[in-house]
Amino acid sequence: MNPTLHRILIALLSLTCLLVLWWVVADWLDDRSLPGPEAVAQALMQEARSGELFVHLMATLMRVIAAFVIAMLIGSAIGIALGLNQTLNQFVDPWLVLLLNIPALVIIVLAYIWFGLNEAAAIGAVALNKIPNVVVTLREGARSLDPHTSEMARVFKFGFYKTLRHVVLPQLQPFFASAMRSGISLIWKIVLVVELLGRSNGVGFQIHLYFQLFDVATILAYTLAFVFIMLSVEYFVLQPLEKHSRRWRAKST
Amino acid sequence: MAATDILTANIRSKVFDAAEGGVMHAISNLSFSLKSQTFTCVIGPSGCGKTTTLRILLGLDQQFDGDIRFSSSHIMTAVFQEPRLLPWRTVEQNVRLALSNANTHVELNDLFKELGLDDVRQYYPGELSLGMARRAALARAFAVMPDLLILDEPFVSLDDATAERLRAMLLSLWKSTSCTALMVTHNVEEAAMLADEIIVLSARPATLLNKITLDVPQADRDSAYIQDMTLKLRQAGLVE
Repeated sequence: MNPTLHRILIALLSLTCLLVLWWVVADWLDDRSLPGPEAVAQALMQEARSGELFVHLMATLMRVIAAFVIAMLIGSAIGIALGLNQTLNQFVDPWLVLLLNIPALVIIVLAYIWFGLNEAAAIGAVALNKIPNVVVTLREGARSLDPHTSEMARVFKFGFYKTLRHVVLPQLQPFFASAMRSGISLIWKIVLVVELLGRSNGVGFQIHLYFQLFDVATILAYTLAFVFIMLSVEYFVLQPLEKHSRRWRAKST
Repeated sequence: MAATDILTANIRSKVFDAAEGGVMHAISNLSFSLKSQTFTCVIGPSGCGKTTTLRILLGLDQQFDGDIRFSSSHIMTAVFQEPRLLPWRTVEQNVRLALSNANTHVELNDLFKELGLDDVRQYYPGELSLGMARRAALARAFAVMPDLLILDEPFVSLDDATAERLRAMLLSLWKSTSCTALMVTHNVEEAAMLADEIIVLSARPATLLNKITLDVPQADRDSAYIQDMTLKLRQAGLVE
Protein backbone atom coordinates (compact mmCIF):
# COMPACT_ATOMS: atom_id res chain seq x y z
CA MET A 1 0.00 0.00 0.00
CA ASN A 2 1.05 3.60 -0.64
CA PRO A 3 2.79 4.78 2.56
CA THR A 4 0.94 8.14 2.58
CA LEU A 5 -2.41 6.39 2.26
CA HIS A 6 -1.34 3.96 4.96
CA ARG A 7 -0.48 6.82 7.29
CA ILE A 8 -3.78 8.59 6.64
CA LEU A 9 -5.77 5.41 7.25
CA ILE A 10 -4.04 4.79 10.57
CA ALA A 11 -4.61 8.41 11.63
CA LEU A 12 -8.31 8.07 10.72
CA LEU A 13 -8.59 4.83 12.64
CA SER A 14 -6.93 6.43 15.65
CA LEU A 15 -9.32 9.39 15.60
CA THR A 16 -12.33 7.11 15.20
CA CYS A 17 -11.21 5.09 18.22
CA LEU A 18 -10.92 8.29 20.26
CA LEU A 19 -14.42 9.33 19.20
CA VAL A 20 -15.87 5.92 20.11
CA LEU A 21 -14.07 5.95 23.46
CA TRP A 22 -15.44 9.43 24.18
CA TRP A 23 -18.95 8.35 23.21
CA VAL A 24 -18.83 5.17 25.37
CA VAL A 25 -17.46 6.96 28.43
CA ALA A 26 -19.95 9.84 28.10
CA ASP A 27 -22.81 7.39 27.69
CA TRP A 28 -21.69 5.35 30.66
CA LEU A 29 -21.17 8.40 32.94
CA ASP A 30 -24.39 10.08 31.77
CA ASP A 31 -23.27 13.30 33.44
CA ARG A 32 -23.37 16.99 32.48
CA SER A 33 -19.61 17.25 33.07
CA LEU A 34 -18.86 15.07 30.04
CA PRO A 35 -21.38 15.42 27.20
CA GLY A 36 -21.13 12.96 24.31
CA PRO A 37 -20.07 13.79 20.74
CA GLU A 38 -23.63 14.35 19.55
CA ALA A 39 -24.33 16.92 22.29
CA VAL A 40 -21.15 18.81 21.34
CA ALA A 41 -22.11 18.66 17.66
CA GLN A 42 -25.52 20.03 18.57
CA ALA A 43 -23.97 22.89 20.55
CA LEU A 44 -21.67 23.61 17.62
CA MET A 45 -24.60 23.74 15.20
CA GLN A 46 -26.52 26.05 17.48
CA GLU A 47 -23.60 28.47 17.86
CA ALA A 48 -23.00 28.36 14.12
CA ARG A 49 -26.64 29.05 13.30
CA SER A 50 -26.80 32.05 15.62
CA GLY A 51 -23.64 33.42 13.99
CA GLU A 52 -21.88 33.65 17.37
CA LEU A 53 -19.34 30.95 16.50
CA PHE A 54 -17.85 32.80 13.53
CA VAL A 55 -17.74 36.17 15.26
CA HIS A 56 -15.73 34.74 18.14
CA LEU A 57 -13.54 32.47 16.03
CA MET A 58 -12.64 35.43 13.82
CA ALA A 59 -11.88 37.66 16.80
CA THR A 60 -9.50 35.06 18.21
CA LEU A 61 -7.94 34.29 14.84
CA MET A 62 -7.23 37.99 14.23
CA ARG A 63 -5.52 38.29 17.61
CA VAL A 64 -3.47 35.18 16.91
CA ILE A 65 -2.34 36.56 13.54
CA ALA A 66 -1.52 40.01 14.92
CA ALA A 67 0.45 38.66 17.88
CA PHE A 68 2.21 36.11 15.68
CA VAL A 69 3.32 38.66 13.08
CA ILE A 70 4.52 41.12 15.74
CA ALA A 71 6.38 38.42 17.68
CA MET A 72 8.06 37.02 14.55
CA LEU A 73 9.14 40.44 13.25
CA ILE A 74 10.48 41.82 16.52
CA GLY A 75 11.84 38.49 17.74
CA SER A 76 13.68 37.78 14.47
CA ALA A 77 15.22 41.24 14.29
CA ILE A 78 16.47 41.03 17.88
CA GLY A 79 17.56 37.41 17.52
CA ILE A 80 19.60 38.05 14.37
CA ALA A 81 21.21 41.14 15.91
CA LEU A 82 22.17 39.17 19.05
CA GLY A 83 23.54 36.30 16.98
CA LEU A 84 25.80 38.67 15.06
CA ASN A 85 26.96 40.89 17.92
CA GLN A 86 28.51 39.14 20.87
CA THR A 87 28.74 42.16 23.19
CA LEU A 88 25.10 43.06 22.60
CA ASN A 89 24.20 39.45 23.24
CA GLN A 90 26.07 39.33 26.53
CA PHE A 91 24.23 42.48 27.59
CA VAL A 92 20.73 41.40 26.57
CA ASP A 93 21.02 37.74 27.55
CA PRO A 94 20.07 38.21 31.26
CA TRP A 95 16.91 40.10 30.22
CA LEU A 96 16.07 37.27 27.91
CA VAL A 97 16.50 34.64 30.62
CA LEU A 98 14.32 36.72 32.93
CA LEU A 99 11.61 37.17 30.31
CA LEU A 100 11.68 33.48 29.39
CA ASN A 101 10.98 32.59 33.02
CA ILE A 102 8.13 35.01 33.72
CA PRO A 103 4.83 33.11 33.51
CA ALA A 104 2.53 34.14 30.65
CA LEU A 105 -0.19 34.96 33.15
CA VAL A 106 1.97 37.55 34.94
CA ILE A 107 2.79 39.35 31.70
CA ILE A 108 -0.91 39.42 30.75
CA VAL A 109 -2.08 40.72 34.12
CA LEU A 110 0.61 43.40 34.22
CA ALA A 111 -0.13 44.46 30.63
CA TYR A 112 -3.81 44.93 31.50
CA ILE A 113 -2.97 46.87 34.67
CA TRP A 114 -0.43 49.14 33.00
CA PHE A 115 -2.05 49.66 29.62
CA GLY A 116 -5.72 49.09 30.37
CA LEU A 117 -8.17 46.46 29.23
CA ASN A 118 -7.69 47.11 25.53
CA GLU A 119 -6.79 45.32 22.33
CA ALA A 120 -3.23 46.69 22.19
CA ALA A 121 -2.47 45.44 25.71
CA ALA A 122 -3.94 42.04 24.89
CA ILE A 123 -2.02 41.53 21.65
CA GLY A 124 1.13 43.09 23.07
CA ALA A 125 1.06 40.75 26.05
CA VAL A 126 0.72 37.69 23.83
CA ALA A 127 3.52 38.86 21.52
CA LEU A 128 5.76 39.58 24.50
CA ASN A 129 5.26 36.03 25.70
CA LYS A 130 6.41 34.65 22.38
CA ILE A 131 9.24 37.07 21.51
CA PRO A 132 11.91 35.47 23.77
CA ASN A 133 11.42 32.07 22.09
CA VAL A 134 11.75 33.59 18.64
CA VAL A 135 14.85 35.52 19.76
CA VAL A 136 16.55 32.39 21.09
CA THR A 137 15.79 30.35 17.96
CA LEU A 138 16.88 33.03 15.47
CA ARG A 139 19.98 33.87 17.54
CA GLU A 140 21.03 30.25 17.09
CA GLY A 141 20.38 30.65 13.36
CA ALA A 142 22.42 33.83 13.02
CA ARG A 143 25.31 32.19 14.85
CA SER A 144 25.37 29.34 12.37
CA LEU A 145 25.59 31.58 9.28
CA ASP A 146 28.31 30.35 6.95
CA PRO A 147 31.24 32.83 6.89
CA HIS A 148 32.39 31.55 3.49
CA THR A 149 29.11 32.49 1.86
CA SER A 150 29.17 35.92 3.50
CA GLU A 151 32.69 36.49 2.14
CA MET A 152 31.50 35.57 -1.33
CA ALA A 153 28.72 38.15 -0.97
CA ARG A 154 31.26 40.78 0.06
CA VAL A 155 33.62 40.02 -2.84
CA PHE A 156 30.75 40.27 -5.31
CA LYS A 157 29.50 43.49 -3.65
CA PHE A 158 26.01 42.18 -2.92
CA GLY A 159 25.07 45.10 -0.70
CA PHE A 160 22.72 44.97 2.29
CA TYR A 161 19.42 44.07 0.67
CA LYS A 162 20.79 41.42 -1.68
CA THR A 163 22.82 39.82 1.10
CA LEU A 164 19.79 39.73 3.39
CA ARG A 165 17.43 38.29 0.81
CA HIS A 166 19.70 35.83 -0.99
CA VAL A 167 22.37 34.92 1.55
CA VAL A 168 21.11 35.42 5.10
CA LEU A 169 17.39 34.67 5.03
CA PRO A 170 17.69 31.36 3.11
CA GLN A 171 20.19 30.13 5.69
CA LEU A 172 17.80 31.14 8.48
CA GLN A 173 14.81 29.41 6.87
CA PRO A 174 14.91 26.26 9.06
CA PHE A 175 15.08 28.47 12.15
CA PHE A 176 12.14 30.57 10.96
CA ALA A 177 10.16 27.40 10.30
CA SER A 178 10.91 26.10 13.77
CA ALA A 179 10.02 29.42 15.44
CA MET A 180 6.80 29.68 13.43
CA ARG A 181 5.64 26.18 14.28
CA SER A 182 6.20 26.39 17.99
CA GLY A 183 4.94 29.98 17.83
CA ILE A 184 1.55 29.38 16.33
CA SER A 185 0.62 26.67 18.84
CA LEU A 186 1.88 28.61 21.84
CA ILE A 187 0.27 31.88 20.75
CA TRP A 188 -3.25 30.63 20.30
CA LYS A 189 -3.25 29.11 23.76
CA ILE A 190 -2.11 32.38 25.31
CA VAL A 191 -4.63 34.38 23.27
CA LEU A 192 -7.41 32.37 24.94
CA VAL A 193 -6.09 33.42 28.33
CA VAL A 194 -5.98 37.15 27.47
CA GLU A 195 -9.51 36.87 26.16
CA LEU A 196 -10.69 35.14 29.29
CA LEU A 197 -9.11 37.81 31.50
CA GLY A 198 -9.94 41.00 29.71
CA ARG A 199 -11.75 40.90 26.39
CA SER A 200 -15.45 40.82 25.55
CA ASN A 201 -15.26 38.55 22.53
CA GLY A 202 -13.25 35.65 21.18
CA VAL A 203 -13.10 31.95 21.98
CA GLY A 204 -11.50 32.58 25.39
CA PHE A 205 -14.33 34.93 26.35
CA GLN A 206 -16.97 32.39 25.28
CA ILE A 207 -15.27 29.60 27.22
CA HIS A 208 -15.28 31.82 30.28
CA LEU A 209 -19.00 32.54 29.75
CA TYR A 210 -20.00 28.89 29.34
CA PHE A 211 -17.76 27.91 32.23
CA GLN A 212 -19.96 30.11 34.44
CA LEU A 213 -23.04 28.44 32.95
CA PHE A 214 -21.41 25.03 33.39
CA ASP A 215 -22.13 24.29 29.73
CA VAL A 216 -19.37 21.80 28.90
CA ALA A 217 -20.84 20.92 25.48
CA THR A 218 -20.45 24.48 24.19
CA ILE A 219 -16.98 24.81 25.74
CA LEU A 220 -15.90 21.69 23.85
CA ALA A 221 -17.63 22.93 20.70
CA TYR A 222 -15.58 26.15 20.70
CA THR A 223 -12.39 24.32 21.55
CA LEU A 224 -12.74 21.78 18.76
CA ALA A 225 -13.73 24.45 16.23
CA PHE A 226 -10.62 26.46 17.00
CA VAL A 227 -8.32 23.44 17.04
CA PHE A 228 -9.69 22.66 13.60
CA ILE A 229 -8.85 26.15 12.37
CA MET A 230 -5.31 26.00 13.75
CA LEU A 231 -4.72 22.60 12.16
CA SER A 232 -5.92 24.01 8.85
CA VAL A 233 -3.45 26.88 9.17
CA GLU A 234 -0.69 24.34 9.84
CA TYR A 235 -1.56 22.10 6.90
CA PHE A 236 -2.68 24.61 4.30
CA VAL A 237 -0.48 27.63 5.09
CA LEU A 238 2.63 26.74 7.08
CA GLN A 239 3.46 23.38 5.54
CA PRO A 240 3.08 24.46 1.87
CA LEU A 241 5.14 27.55 2.68
CA GLU A 242 7.88 25.43 4.15
CA LYS A 243 7.78 23.01 1.25
CA HIS A 244 8.16 25.92 -1.17
CA SER A 245 11.17 27.35 0.63
CA ARG A 246 12.79 23.94 0.82
CA ARG A 247 12.32 23.04 -2.86
CA TRP A 248 16.06 23.27 -3.63
CA ARG A 249 16.85 20.71 -0.93
CA ALA A 250 14.63 18.08 -2.47
CA LYS A 251 16.58 18.33 -5.71
CA SER A 252 20.06 18.51 -4.21
CA THR A 253 21.89 15.36 -3.29
CA MET B 1 53.19 52.02 -9.42
CA ALA B 2 53.90 51.79 -13.13
CA ALA B 3 51.18 52.86 -15.52
CA THR B 4 50.47 49.30 -16.59
CA ASP B 5 50.29 47.88 -13.08
CA ILE B 6 46.72 47.12 -12.07
CA LEU B 7 47.56 46.25 -8.48
CA THR B 8 50.46 46.89 -6.15
CA ALA B 9 50.67 45.00 -2.89
CA ASN B 10 53.01 45.89 -0.10
CA ILE B 11 52.28 43.77 2.96
CA ARG B 12 54.81 44.60 5.64
CA SER B 13 53.44 42.13 8.13
CA LYS B 14 50.44 40.03 8.94
CA VAL B 15 50.17 38.23 12.26
CA PHE B 16 47.57 35.90 13.71
CA ASP B 17 46.94 35.33 17.38
CA ALA B 18 48.20 31.82 17.99
CA ALA B 19 45.99 29.40 19.88
CA GLU B 20 48.53 28.87 22.67
CA GLY B 21 48.99 32.63 23.15
CA GLY B 22 51.56 34.75 21.41
CA VAL B 23 51.47 35.51 17.73
CA MET B 24 52.11 33.67 14.50
CA HIS B 25 53.80 35.60 11.71
CA ALA B 26 52.01 34.73 8.48
CA ILE B 27 53.51 37.27 6.09
CA SER B 28 56.50 39.53 6.35
CA ASN B 29 57.63 42.10 3.78
CA LEU B 30 55.80 40.74 0.79
CA SER B 31 55.68 43.16 -2.13
CA PHE B 32 54.67 42.58 -5.69
CA SER B 33 52.69 44.20 -8.45
CA LEU B 34 50.54 42.79 -11.20
CA LYS B 35 50.91 44.01 -14.77
CA SER B 36 47.65 44.64 -16.52
CA GLN B 37 46.30 41.72 -18.58
CA THR B 38 48.89 39.23 -17.38
CA PHE B 39 48.41 35.88 -15.72
CA THR B 40 50.34 35.48 -12.47
CA CYS B 41 50.58 32.29 -10.44
CA VAL B 42 51.57 32.18 -6.80
CA ILE B 43 53.27 29.02 -5.57
CA GLY B 44 54.85 28.14 -2.26
CA PRO B 45 54.88 25.53 0.48
CA SER B 46 51.59 24.51 2.15
CA GLY B 47 50.41 26.85 4.84
CA CYS B 48 52.85 29.60 3.88
CA GLY B 49 50.16 32.26 3.71
CA LYS B 50 49.04 32.17 0.09
CA THR B 51 45.34 32.18 0.90
CA THR B 52 45.92 34.86 3.54
CA THR B 53 47.54 37.02 0.87
CA LEU B 54 44.54 36.61 -1.42
CA ARG B 55 42.15 37.45 1.40
CA ILE B 56 44.07 40.66 2.04
CA LEU B 57 43.96 41.60 -1.66
CA LEU B 58 40.21 40.94 -1.73
CA GLY B 59 39.65 43.19 1.26
CA LEU B 60 38.32 40.30 3.36
CA ASP B 61 41.15 40.69 5.86
CA GLN B 62 42.00 44.24 6.84
CA GLN B 63 44.01 43.47 9.96
CA PHE B 64 47.47 43.80 8.46
CA ASP B 65 50.30 46.26 8.25
CA GLY B 66 50.90 47.54 4.74
CA ASP B 67 48.92 48.82 1.82
CA ILE B 68 47.23 47.54 -1.31
CA ARG B 69 46.85 49.86 -4.24
CA PHE B 70 43.99 49.01 -6.58
CA SER B 71 41.90 51.60 -8.39
CA SER B 72 38.35 51.71 -7.07
CA SER B 73 37.07 52.15 -10.62
CA HIS B 74 38.33 48.65 -11.39
CA ILE B 75 36.42 45.48 -10.63
CA MET B 76 38.06 42.72 -8.63
CA THR B 77 36.38 39.36 -8.31
CA ALA B 78 37.24 35.87 -7.13
CA VAL B 79 36.97 32.15 -7.66
CA PHE B 80 37.38 30.45 -4.31
CA GLN B 81 38.77 27.05 -3.49
CA GLU B 82 35.26 25.80 -2.81
CA PRO B 83 32.75 26.93 -5.44
CA ARG B 84 30.80 28.93 -2.80
CA LEU B 85 27.59 28.93 -4.80
CA LEU B 86 24.32 29.63 -3.01
CA PRO B 87 22.73 26.16 -2.78
CA TRP B 88 19.20 27.64 -2.71
CA ARG B 89 19.60 29.47 -6.02
CA THR B 90 19.95 27.93 -9.47
CA VAL B 91 23.17 28.16 -11.47
CA GLU B 92 21.81 31.02 -13.54
CA GLN B 93 20.49 32.86 -10.47
CA ASN B 94 23.87 32.47 -8.81
CA VAL B 95 25.58 34.05 -11.78
CA ARG B 96 23.02 36.84 -12.17
CA LEU B 97 23.15 37.72 -8.48
CA ALA B 98 26.82 38.61 -8.89
CA LEU B 99 25.95 41.25 -11.47
CA SER B 100 25.50 44.80 -10.31
CA ASN B 101 21.91 46.01 -10.39
CA ALA B 102 22.55 48.04 -13.53
CA ASN B 103 23.62 44.94 -15.46
CA THR B 104 21.02 42.45 -14.33
CA HIS B 105 19.77 41.68 -17.83
CA VAL B 106 23.12 41.30 -19.50
CA GLU B 107 23.38 38.54 -22.10
CA LEU B 108 24.95 35.44 -20.59
CA ASN B 109 24.27 32.85 -23.29
CA ASP B 110 27.79 32.90 -24.72
CA LEU B 111 29.39 32.59 -21.31
CA PHE B 112 27.20 29.63 -20.35
CA LYS B 113 27.87 27.99 -23.71
CA GLU B 114 31.61 28.50 -23.52
CA LEU B 115 31.70 26.89 -20.08
CA GLY B 116 29.39 24.06 -21.11
CA LEU B 117 26.75 25.08 -18.59
CA ASP B 118 23.92 25.65 -21.03
CA ASP B 119 22.00 22.53 -19.99
CA VAL B 120 22.33 23.08 -16.25
CA ARG B 121 21.36 26.75 -15.99
CA GLN B 122 18.20 25.86 -14.07
CA TYR B 123 19.89 23.28 -11.83
CA TYR B 124 20.62 23.84 -8.16
CA PRO B 125 24.31 23.57 -7.16
CA GLY B 126 23.53 20.42 -5.16
CA GLU B 127 22.65 18.68 -8.42
CA LEU B 128 26.04 19.43 -10.00
CA SER B 129 29.33 17.54 -9.96
CA LEU B 130 32.31 19.35 -8.43
CA GLY B 131 33.70 20.08 -11.89
CA MET B 132 30.44 21.67 -12.99
CA ALA B 133 30.12 23.66 -9.78
CA ARG B 134 33.65 24.98 -10.36
CA ARG B 135 32.66 26.01 -13.89
CA ALA B 136 29.61 27.78 -12.48
CA ALA B 137 31.93 29.65 -10.10
CA LEU B 138 34.07 30.64 -13.10
CA ALA B 139 30.95 31.81 -14.94
CA ARG B 140 29.98 33.96 -11.97
CA ALA B 141 33.43 35.52 -11.79
CA PHE B 142 33.61 36.30 -15.52
CA ALA B 143 30.01 37.53 -15.74
CA VAL B 144 30.92 40.71 -13.87
CA MET B 145 33.64 41.53 -16.45
CA PRO B 146 36.43 41.80 -13.90
CA ASP B 147 39.60 43.79 -14.41
CA LEU B 148 41.33 41.56 -11.88
CA LEU B 149 40.38 37.96 -11.21
CA ILE B 150 41.71 36.30 -8.08
CA LEU B 151 41.70 32.48 -8.06
CA ASP B 152 42.47 30.34 -5.02
CA GLU B 153 43.34 26.84 -6.22
CA PRO B 154 40.22 26.68 -8.35
CA PHE B 155 41.00 23.24 -9.80
CA VAL B 156 42.15 21.39 -6.71
CA SER B 157 40.72 17.89 -6.12
CA LEU B 158 39.46 17.46 -9.68
CA ASP B 159 40.61 14.53 -11.80
CA ASP B 160 43.34 15.35 -14.33
CA ALA B 161 41.12 15.32 -17.40
CA THR B 162 38.54 17.63 -15.84
CA ALA B 163 41.19 19.98 -14.47
CA GLU B 164 42.78 20.06 -17.93
CA ARG B 165 39.49 21.08 -19.57
CA LEU B 166 38.80 23.72 -16.97
CA ARG B 167 42.28 25.21 -17.40
CA ALA B 168 41.70 25.49 -21.14
CA MET B 169 38.35 27.21 -20.49
CA LEU B 170 39.95 29.59 -18.02
CA LEU B 171 42.77 30.49 -20.43
CA SER B 172 40.40 31.16 -23.30
CA LEU B 173 38.10 33.33 -21.14
CA TRP B 174 41.08 35.18 -19.70
CA LYS B 175 42.38 35.89 -23.23
CA SER B 176 39.03 36.97 -24.64
CA THR B 177 38.13 39.25 -21.71
CA SER B 178 41.69 40.59 -21.39
CA CYS B 179 41.50 40.69 -17.62
CA THR B 180 44.38 40.29 -15.21
CA ALA B 181 44.55 37.02 -13.30
CA LEU B 182 46.22 36.08 -10.05
CA MET B 183 46.01 32.43 -9.14
CA VAL B 184 47.27 30.51 -6.15
CA THR B 185 48.15 26.91 -6.92
CA HIS B 186 49.96 23.93 -5.44
CA ASN B 187 50.47 22.47 -8.85
CA VAL B 188 53.79 23.54 -10.43
CA GLU B 189 52.79 22.10 -13.77
CA GLU B 190 49.61 24.12 -13.74
CA ALA B 191 51.62 27.26 -13.08
CA ALA B 192 53.92 26.41 -15.99
CA MET B 193 50.91 26.04 -18.28
CA LEU B 194 49.04 29.20 -17.32
CA ALA B 195 51.38 31.84 -15.97
CA ASP B 196 53.14 34.77 -17.57
CA GLU B 197 54.80 35.27 -14.27
CA ILE B 198 55.29 32.98 -11.29
CA ILE B 199 55.65 34.39 -7.80
CA VAL B 200 57.41 31.95 -5.48
CA LEU B 201 56.76 32.44 -1.78
CA SER B 202 58.94 31.21 1.08
CA ALA B 203 57.76 29.09 3.98
CA ARG B 204 56.01 30.98 6.78
CA PRO B 205 56.27 33.90 7.28
CA ALA B 206 55.67 34.32 3.59
CA THR B 207 57.97 36.60 1.69
CA LEU B 208 58.90 36.89 -1.96
CA LEU B 209 61.51 34.25 -2.76
CA ASN B 210 61.65 34.56 -6.50
CA LYS B 211 59.79 35.92 -9.48
CA ILE B 212 60.00 34.03 -12.75
CA THR B 213 58.88 35.36 -16.10
CA LEU B 214 57.74 32.91 -18.75
CA ASP B 215 58.07 34.54 -22.15
CA VAL B 216 56.47 31.92 -24.39
CA PRO B 217 52.76 32.74 -24.93
CA GLN B 218 50.45 30.20 -23.27
CA ALA B 219 49.02 29.02 -26.59
CA ASP B 220 52.48 28.11 -27.91
CA ARG B 221 53.55 26.04 -24.92
CA ASP B 222 53.82 22.35 -25.73
CA SER B 223 54.17 19.54 -23.24
CA ALA B 224 57.96 19.58 -23.64
CA TYR B 225 58.12 23.25 -22.64
CA ILE B 226 55.85 22.68 -19.66
CA GLN B 227 57.82 19.65 -18.49
CA ASP B 228 61.04 21.52 -18.89
CA MET B 229 59.76 24.52 -16.95
CA THR B 230 58.34 22.32 -14.20
CA LEU B 231 61.66 20.55 -13.88
CA LYS B 232 63.56 23.83 -13.76
CA LEU B 233 61.34 25.16 -11.00
CA ARG B 234 61.77 21.96 -9.01
CA GLN B 235 65.54 21.76 -9.55
CA ALA B 236 66.03 25.32 -8.48
CA GLY B 237 64.68 24.07 -5.18
CA LEU B 238 62.09 26.79 -5.30
CA VAL B 239 59.13 24.49 -4.82
CA GLU B 240 58.42 21.17 -3.17
